Amino acid sequence: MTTRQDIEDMINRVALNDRAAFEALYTATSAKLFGIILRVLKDRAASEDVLQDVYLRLWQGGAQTFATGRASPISWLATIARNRAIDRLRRVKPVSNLDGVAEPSDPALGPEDLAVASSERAMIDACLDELQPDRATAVRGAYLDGDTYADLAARFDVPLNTMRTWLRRSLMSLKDCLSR
Amino acid sequence: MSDERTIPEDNDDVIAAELSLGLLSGDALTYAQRRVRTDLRFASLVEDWDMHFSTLTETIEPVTPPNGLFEKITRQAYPDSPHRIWRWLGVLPAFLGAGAAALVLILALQYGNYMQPDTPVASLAAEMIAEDESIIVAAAYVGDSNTLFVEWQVGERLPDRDVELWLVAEGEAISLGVLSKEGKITEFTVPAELQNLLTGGALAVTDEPIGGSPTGAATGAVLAVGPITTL
Repeated sequence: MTTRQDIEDMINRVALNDRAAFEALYTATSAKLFGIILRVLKDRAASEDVLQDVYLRLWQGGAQTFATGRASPISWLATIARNRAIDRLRRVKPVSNLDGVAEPSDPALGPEDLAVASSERAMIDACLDELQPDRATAVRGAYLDGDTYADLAARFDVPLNTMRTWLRRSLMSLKDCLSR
Repeated sequence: MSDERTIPEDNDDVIAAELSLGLLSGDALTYAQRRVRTDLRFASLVEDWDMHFSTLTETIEPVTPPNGLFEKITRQAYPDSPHRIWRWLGVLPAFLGAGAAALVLILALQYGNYMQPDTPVASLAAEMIAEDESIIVAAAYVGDSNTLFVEWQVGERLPDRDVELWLVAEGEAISLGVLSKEGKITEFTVPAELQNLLTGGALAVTDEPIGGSPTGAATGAVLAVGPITTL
């Protein structure tokens, strides 16, 4: 069983260009990151490209930017994978296509399915639950589907500024809740 | 929850969240990205949001990436990988496609001093790829020395089996020998009578008992095939 400490050590050794650590890190984390990238892109070939890019960048200096002790290493890696996937999505998808047909959000990600929640996830889920359901859906959609304000406005059929006002309020409420 | 507050445009917590979620565009995005680099307090707000939002990925099921992907990564990551010989032979761009031209340039700048005037130049090359891309074997032929360099690049080797290389030409498969298990590159000397058959032919690798096919014809599964191309 690979522990959080193991992953941290691997990242720190990858920062020193330790090849054995690079392979160990790939073995321990690539399936999780591939799952995340696939979830965002829903395209296998593109996801393989992005996964390669994520690890190549880690090797070529990215691992040196990991701050031990501050962030959970898996959260840190997940953020990189998600962000690279969103970057890729943006390259193929027009950024503010108001006429775009929005896909329904993935029901598998509903809060009711999160049976064994970590304390952090329990926290953000609990806080998202305090929002109105469509706004919580909008936040999840932005994070995992790469929806912009324009995409969300189209999906919820409201003017762009309304969407923005809604979501900014929701983010503030989320912040208040998370700092309680 | 009803919340009718108006959030000021310059609320850093909200801007950090918008950046973390990827909602910003245009000038607002440029401005927020610049602040991450110059304002540590703002950067740590973004990082806090990143960590909170990243927990939304925890329920996503892991999916095993295809075999060979790590080898593809290390081929780019490690400059001294056996791949370098392909650059020497002048065939790397042909294998990697135009998209990798930048990488080739970097390697050339880094290892330019290895480029000797008597560097052999390959005239023919082949890339044998399994249908599911689980096996990739690259080959390059240097006519001056009748040498065929063959590299097992991607795929697992079975410990109790050998891989045999075949020249497929004029409807026949002719054995060129067994791939080495030591090191990734095997050098074959191509017999004079076969040299003319290379152009327009194909190369293939098959799974065989240790020492190669006992019959002189392939007995095992064809692992990968690729046409021979003129460079």
